Amino acid sequence: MVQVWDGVVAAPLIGTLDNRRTEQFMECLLQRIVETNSPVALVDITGVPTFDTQTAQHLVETITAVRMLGAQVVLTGVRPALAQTLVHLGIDLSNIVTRASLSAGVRVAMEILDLLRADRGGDRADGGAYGWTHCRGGHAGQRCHHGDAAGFDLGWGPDGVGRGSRPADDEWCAPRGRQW
Amino acid sequence: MVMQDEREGEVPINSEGDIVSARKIVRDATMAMGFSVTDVTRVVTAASELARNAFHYGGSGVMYWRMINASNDVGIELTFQDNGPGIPDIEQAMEAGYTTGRGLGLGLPGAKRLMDDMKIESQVGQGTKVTVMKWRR
Repeated sequence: MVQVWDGVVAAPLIGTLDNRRTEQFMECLLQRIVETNSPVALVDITGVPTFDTQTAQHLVETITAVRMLGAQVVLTGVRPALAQTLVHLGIDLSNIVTRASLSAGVRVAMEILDLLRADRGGDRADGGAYGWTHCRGGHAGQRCHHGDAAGFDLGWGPDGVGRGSRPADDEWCAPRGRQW
Repeated sequence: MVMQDEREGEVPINSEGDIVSARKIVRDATMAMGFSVTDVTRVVTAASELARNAFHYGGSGVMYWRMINASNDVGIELTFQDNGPGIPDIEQAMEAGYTTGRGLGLGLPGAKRLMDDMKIESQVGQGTKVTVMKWRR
């Protein structure tokens, strides 16, 4: 399991997926997502020779668990023959983002990251799922006036009270130490 | 590895590992017969479903496979035989989403759609025999 980008982990699945291997895979993937604070996980099934209803069930369970952590899964390596077979089997993956290749999956991951970054400019005062470490005002490189509303990540409360000191007016809101 | 002149064979299904072996044999056989990539995937997936059923519900079983020749057509026939509890209501078992276990309930109806023909014989308390076949296109 590798971190391919800041915020994106890739997990290639190789070989057959039985109960034991799925459990190991799920444990490892969830751990990596938390360790790297990644909002996106690419699960690549190029190396899985046979995909049947049990494999699908295991994978859907894994994806559900990942979602509980607040991350999203992009399933990659869905070959044409596999897509046809899954449709015949009656397996519904319509609520899962799938792509034919890992590279197409990486592109989707980038789009998701972009959306999350755009979100940062909005009114989300909840800090998101990934604990922004700087002002989310979306004005990197400009003077920050958001100390009272959005700057609580720097250590003071949303109302300008409490947990630490407010930065001086001339402090810049730079995208330093951004973490997903 | 299936040799060119091998036309039939049998695989015991007594463990998860045997399901993998059954898949491999079916894959090699259909590839040797010249099935398309998609059809190889279909037949192997159906074999996987049925072998798993024989193992999970039947406790253990056997898969027989054979090549069928009919005039100009070539096909593969797979038979899965177990000595498990049997299926009381085959019609119900063929309904998508029906399961007595913890699966999705898509295996049997899915396997039927993946293959050209499917036949189920089952006696409660005696076991189940599922025969599927597919022609090469």
